[in-house]
This record gives sequence, C-alpha cells and structure tokens, in this order.
Amino acid sequence: MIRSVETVVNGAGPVLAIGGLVKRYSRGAVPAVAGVDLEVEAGEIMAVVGESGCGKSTLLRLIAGLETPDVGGIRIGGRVVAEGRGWVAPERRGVGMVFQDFALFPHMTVLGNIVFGLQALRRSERKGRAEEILDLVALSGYGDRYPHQLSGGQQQRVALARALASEPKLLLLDEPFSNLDTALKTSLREEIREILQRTGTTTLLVVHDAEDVMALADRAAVMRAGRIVQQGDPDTLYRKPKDEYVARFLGETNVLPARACPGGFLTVLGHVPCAAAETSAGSVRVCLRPEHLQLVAGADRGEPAVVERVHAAGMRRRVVVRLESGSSPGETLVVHAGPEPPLAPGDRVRILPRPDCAHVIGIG
Amino acid sequence: MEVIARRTWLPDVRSLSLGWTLAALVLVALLSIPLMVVAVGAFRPAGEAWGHIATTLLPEYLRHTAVLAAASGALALIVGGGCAWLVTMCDFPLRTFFRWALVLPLAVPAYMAAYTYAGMLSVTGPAQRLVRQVVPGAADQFFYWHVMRIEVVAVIFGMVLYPYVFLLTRALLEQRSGRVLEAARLMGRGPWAIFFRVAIPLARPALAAGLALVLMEILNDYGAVAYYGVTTFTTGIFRAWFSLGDLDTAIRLSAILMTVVLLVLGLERWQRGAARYDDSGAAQPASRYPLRGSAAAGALVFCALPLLLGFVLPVAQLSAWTVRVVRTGGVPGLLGLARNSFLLALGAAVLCVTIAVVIGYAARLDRSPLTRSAGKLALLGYSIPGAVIAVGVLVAVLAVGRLVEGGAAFLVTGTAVALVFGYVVRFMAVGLLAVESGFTRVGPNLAAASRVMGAAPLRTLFQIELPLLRRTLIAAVTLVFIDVLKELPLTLILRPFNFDTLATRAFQLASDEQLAQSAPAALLVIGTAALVVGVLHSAFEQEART
Repeated sequence: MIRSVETVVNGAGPVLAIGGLVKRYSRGAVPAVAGVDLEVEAGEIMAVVGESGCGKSTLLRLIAGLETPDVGGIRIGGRVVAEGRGWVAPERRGVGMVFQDFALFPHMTVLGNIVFGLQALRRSERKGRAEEILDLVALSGYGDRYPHQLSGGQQQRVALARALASEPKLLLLDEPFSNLDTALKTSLREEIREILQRTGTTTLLVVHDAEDVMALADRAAVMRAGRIVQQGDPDTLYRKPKDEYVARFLGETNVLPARACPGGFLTVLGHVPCAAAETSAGSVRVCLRPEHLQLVAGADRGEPAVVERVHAAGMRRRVVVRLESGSSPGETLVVHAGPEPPLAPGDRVRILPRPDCAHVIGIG
Repeated sequence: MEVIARRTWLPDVRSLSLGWTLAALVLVALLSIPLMVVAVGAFRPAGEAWGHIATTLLPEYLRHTAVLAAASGALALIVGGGCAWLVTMCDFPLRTFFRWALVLPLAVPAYMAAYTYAGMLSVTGPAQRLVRQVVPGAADQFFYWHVMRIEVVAVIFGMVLYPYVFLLTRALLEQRSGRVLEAARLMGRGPWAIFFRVAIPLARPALAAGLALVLMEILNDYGAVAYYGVTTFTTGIFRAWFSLGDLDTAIRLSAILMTVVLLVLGLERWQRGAARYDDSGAAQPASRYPLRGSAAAGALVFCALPLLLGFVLPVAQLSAWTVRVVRTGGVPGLLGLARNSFLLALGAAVLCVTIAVVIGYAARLDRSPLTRSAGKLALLGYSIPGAVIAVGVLVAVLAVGRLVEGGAAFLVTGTAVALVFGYVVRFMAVGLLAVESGFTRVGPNLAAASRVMGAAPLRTLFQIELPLLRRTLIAAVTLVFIDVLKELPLTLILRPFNFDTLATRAFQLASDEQLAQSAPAALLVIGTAALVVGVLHSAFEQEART
C-alpha cells in the first residue's frame, strides 16, 4: 500500500523538479516514463513534446498526482510530493491543470466550475475571485452559461480560468490545442501566452506540434520512448538538434551523409561551408533545413537538380527536388524558395547550401 | 538528484483512498459469505436424507434440469435470435412496435406465467372447453389433455425468457454489425446466406450470453417447476429444508446447483474469448430487406406469437380473473401486500445501489488487481439461484446466532434483515454493472479535474460523480426494484414469520388452486414490471440517440 508523504524543503530553486522518474503501467511492461529528469523555473513556460505514446501525458499525470510513480521523485514548490512509494494526493499538490478535453463539469455553470476549486477562499470571496478570473480570460458575463452553451475556444478559456483561479504554484496543460481548429489555435495560443505571462504562472505543457512549442514555450524538452532526448530553448532545439528524431520533430529537414573537412562538410551538394565543423569528426550526418538551401541561377554555382513538386503557400514555396548528379543521384531534397521565379515539375535548377547552417546530428 | 537527497518524510494517510478500498473489501467479503458457506458446507458430513436423495432423486433432478435447459434454451435461441434478425434486418408491418414490445415478457415471472397457463389449459379451462366445442366429437371422445407436464414448462420458459437472447442479439446486430451486414449485401449474397454465414457467426457472442442468462433463470426457478410437479434442484432444496428439515442436504444440493451454474458461466466466458460487448458503436440503421406478401405475414406471425404467448395471453387471463375477483368482493389485504412488496423492494434496491457505488468507486480510485477482482466476486451472486443464496444466508445467520443467544432465530423469523441481505447478495450485479458502466461513460477526466482542483475523493463523489450518474443510478434502483418484486424462492425461504409479499401470496394462492384469487397480486407485479421495462427501454433508447 502506498504511504502518503509530504515535506517542505526551504529555499528557492525550481518550482518543479523531477528526478529519475519511472512509471510502468503493468509489471514487465515497457515503461511509459523511463527515467526523466526535468526542472522548471519560476515563471517559465516549459513544453514537453514528442510523438504520441512517448510518455509525455503520463509524465504530466505523474506530476498532477493522477498516477503514482514506480521510482523517482517529484518536488513542487520546494515540497516533495512523490518519491518512491510516497505520494501526495492530487487535491493536496496545489497544481492547476487544463485537460485535453477540457473536462468542464457539465452540470455546473461556468461560475460553478471556477468556484469549485476555490474552497480555500472564504465563501464571500469566491464569487468575486471567479469573476475576476473570467475577466482575465475575456469571458466576463459568461458566468451563468453552461459548458455546452460555449464554443470550443470559450470552453478552453474557461478551463484555463478554472485552473488559474486558485493561483496554482504550477499550471499543467495537456495538449491544450488538439481539440481546436487551426484558425482558432493561432489566436488562442497568443492569448494564452499573454495570460500566462501576465499572471507569471509557471507552466508545463504537453504538446505534439512543434508550432505550439515555438509560439508558446520559453524552453522545451523532446521526449521519446519515455526519455527526454534533448532540452533547451526552442530556437536551439531547432537549429542544433541532437539527433534526427529531434530535428524532424521540430520541423521538416534534409539529412545528408557528410564528411568533415577544413572549413565545412563534403556532401552530395559539394562543399558546405561551416565554420564550426570539426575536421576530426570524420564521417557524419548533417541536417540542413529547407530554408538552409537556396535555388540559384547561373551554371557556375550549386548542384544541378530537377524539380519534382512545388507546393505553393503564399510568399513561400516548398520545392521538392531530385539531384541530377553527385555521388548519389536520385536523392530528393526539400528547399524553401521565394515566389519568383516560376517553377514547374521537370524544371532544371541549381541548389546551393547557405553557409554556417549545417548541423551534425550523428556519426556515419 | 538533490530532490531525493534532501527529503524528510512526514507520513500522512488522509489523502489516500485506503478507506474506500477497505470499505469495499469488507462489503464484498460480507456479500460473499453465503456463497462461501455453501461451497464449504458441501464438504461437511451428509445429512440423513442425503443417501435417499442421492440414489433415488438426484438422477431425476439432473434429467429434468437437462431437459428444461435443452428445450427452453433452444426455443429461446430460435425465437430471440429470429426476432432480433427480423426487427433489425427486415422491414415488415409493426416492425418498430415489435422492436420494443418483444421485450415485455421480461415483466412476467416464469412462475406466474406457469400457473396462469395451467389454469388456461386445464381440463376445465377455456382452451380445452373451446376445443371440445369446436372440434366435432372431441367432447364425446372424452378428449382430455393433462397439462401438468414438463414439455409445457419448457415452452413457458422459452416464451418468457427469450427476451434475454432478443435484447443482446438485437443490440449487437444494430450497433456493431450494421456495416458488416451491409458490406455482405453489397458483395451480392442473398438474405438466407447472410443470415447463416454472416449474421449468426457475428451474433454468436450475444446468442451465447443470452442463452447463459436464460439457463441461469431456469436453474433459478422454483415456482414454475414446483407448480407443475417437475422435480429439479430447487424443488429438492425446498424439500430438504422445509419438509425434512435437513439443512446439510439442502447445502449439498445447493453446492451441486452452484457448480452447474459456474459451469454454464465458464462455458459462456470460454466461447466469448476475446470478444467484447462494449456498445460504444453508435446505433446505425442498417438497410433492411423489405418483406412483402406472405414473407411479411410470416415475419409478423413469428414476432407476434412469442409476444402473445409470453405476455398478452397470461396478462389477459390474469386480468379476466382479477375482474372476476374484484366483482366478488376483492382481495383482502392486497394493499398491505403491495406495501410490503414495494417497501421491501425499494429498501433492497437503494441499499444495493448504495453498496454498488461504494465498491465501484473504490475500484475507480484504486485500480489495484485486488480491488478489481473483489468487484468481480460481488457480481457472482446474480448467477447463483435464489434458493442457494437463501440456504447460504440461513446457514450464516444460524452461525451468528450460535454466538448471540436467541438472536439468529429472531433475525430470520422476526425481521427482514436476512431477506434484504439475501436480495442484496443476489442482485448486487445489477447495481454494480450499472455503476461501472456509468463511471465509464462519465470518463476519468472530470474526476481527475476535480481532484486537481482540490476536492478529496468524497467531495468529488458527491459533487461531480453522483450528479452525473443520477440517471444511471435511478435506472439501477428501478431494475433491482422489479427484480426483487418478482423474486420468489429466496423470499419464500428467508421471509419473516407471517410475512407475505405480492409474489409469495400469489404463488401460495395459486398452489392452493385459488388461481383467480392469486391474479390481482400477480397482475400488480407484472404491471409494475412492464411499466418499468417500457419506460427504461425508451429512456435508454433516447440516451443512445443523444
């Protein structure tokens, strides 16, 4: 039987600290969370990303206290809430959570939903606080509605208001945008970021979309098979991914076999200049994002290629090309190009990598 | 990591679901006592009557039970399965009416149907009088047909129990197989080929589960077989206890009967394999075969016959008797009987569902294998015949009585405590399955949200789960209510001294050949049950549609 434990550790430090966390759903199963270390600083918005089934939602549930860890510890606001078999119930952790399906109580009004979590306040203060928080999410006047009378975006904001009302030490967001359509997503992302920053809420969110990470997070951790592969600020993750999984997760990329040489890499695209290249690395694989390649005119520069497909999207075009010559003919690459010149499948073009963009993501 | 290095633990058990788990385990243990007592008691030295019963009567019990199971089971399969196919896959006049009306025989307890038919078909009854009047020479030939035979009981069982097969098969055909059957049609196969090659194999799990329920009811029955003088295990148990006063023999017979039931249950589980019955798929109307002319008439008759035999005729006869009885002065004490029945049924139903909520909620909070298998154990009572449970309760109460001087006799003969306990053991599954399906429908996230927002399990239960489960709980209470109302064998054994319910009084009057006198009480039970069956059925339909 699980014993519940609680302790207070003095001092500042991260709002959320996780060490060596392991969770198996059944004996002998592959662990859903397989040894995670993670810290979130006060006021920070941290994103955990990964493919579905990578354990990111389990991690969130462990932090909320909805699951019990097998091994490892969790500390929230300096207080240990889980370690080994010790475990503090979710209602005593002081976290707020927004669920993927919002989980609004269907039999309560919007106000009722928010007041439900304000037990710590005096009865007379609850309604005022609830109205204050509704105002924050721009839903004042909606207090008497029932959840089913609201749009998806409004439900999302009620769920956020409900979670923020009790001023939690830590806010958890589980796939907050997966139930919303694309148009709504963009504006809501901005709105939520603003609210979180205004309230200075320390936030951990779980998403599977790189765009959410870029738009919302100060820092991100990429998870795969229960482990954190790499963490850092989104820009670093995008530009300097540790491996191909991280590289592909944060956006489309070309991965090319390469050999380090003085001043850059030797690839099928010829010499890719890169000041940071280490000659000693030998045979490697490098990642070149579509925007790291350019289509050039003239016969003296770049590698010849044939256009296979062109996806036009406003000012930017995504062009799939097949290399004509080089050491491995037939390789396809993705290149981002501007609106000019006109391109059609079969056109001959030349590809030139921009300098100092190639990033090593593996050996061989 | 330093998180772990700097900890200092303060044990704190307030936040745990330990209390719920413990409560659930205690309740399940309590509910399992009667069955355990029977299982253990079977290994005690035999009573005096055992030798006699084992050599002379046991083979007969087995034979009669097997005949009833085979004949009624086959009948229920053909009628229930056939009607389910017709109302889901064919279009014919009154199809939508039959779709729900065919459920109605569920409201008629088998023993009430049995003695009503005995009255109708008896030598002096309306049926034989009609035959003697219509068939020329029948009266002269001294055409008398003896109704008290096992074949009649088998047909009656088939006609009142087929709805179990019908309901499960219809649900399966409507919800899961509509598309598959449509695909089979598009592949160019005719209706008969689809029926035998696709529909029956597809519906097999539902047919088997329905058949298992039918067999349980047959094994549970006491009233019908007792009335027709067909000796089975239940009549044997009654005889051993009431006539011979030999509890040990009653226990042995109960243990054998329990083994048979568990065998049926095991067979059903085994054939089911990995198949599951979640009704998650939304009901989708499959395109139906339009029936015309003689085919439509055939379908109409095929559906009308079981409804007529299982519901309309018995109810009509009981109504006729009731009218006659009321004209000649009514039934003294009917109001008191009704009050006894309704209060008892309501109390047992509310208690049953309350306990089901505790056990179900504990399993929801603490998903450990122990708690979950405890919940499974509590389901068992529903398949165990009432007479067996009654014997178990009796033995348990007597054992308690040995500890408390004079207490046991009073518990059984003076109060309804033992009776209500027996009902709760027997009908726990109805409450538990309803509560579990309700929890599944509500989903885990609302409770999780409530917990994260600072509400402990108890507050979460009362403010989030129970309000959302309201309709499910009302339905569960109602189902247990009519089950208790109809229950006979358990009530006969465990009722307090001089205490009667509608069911026991109706059965006793019928047994004393006062068939007409028994009708008002029976009609009250059937009418209540039919109302509930009808209302619940349409409520579930509406829920499924939204």
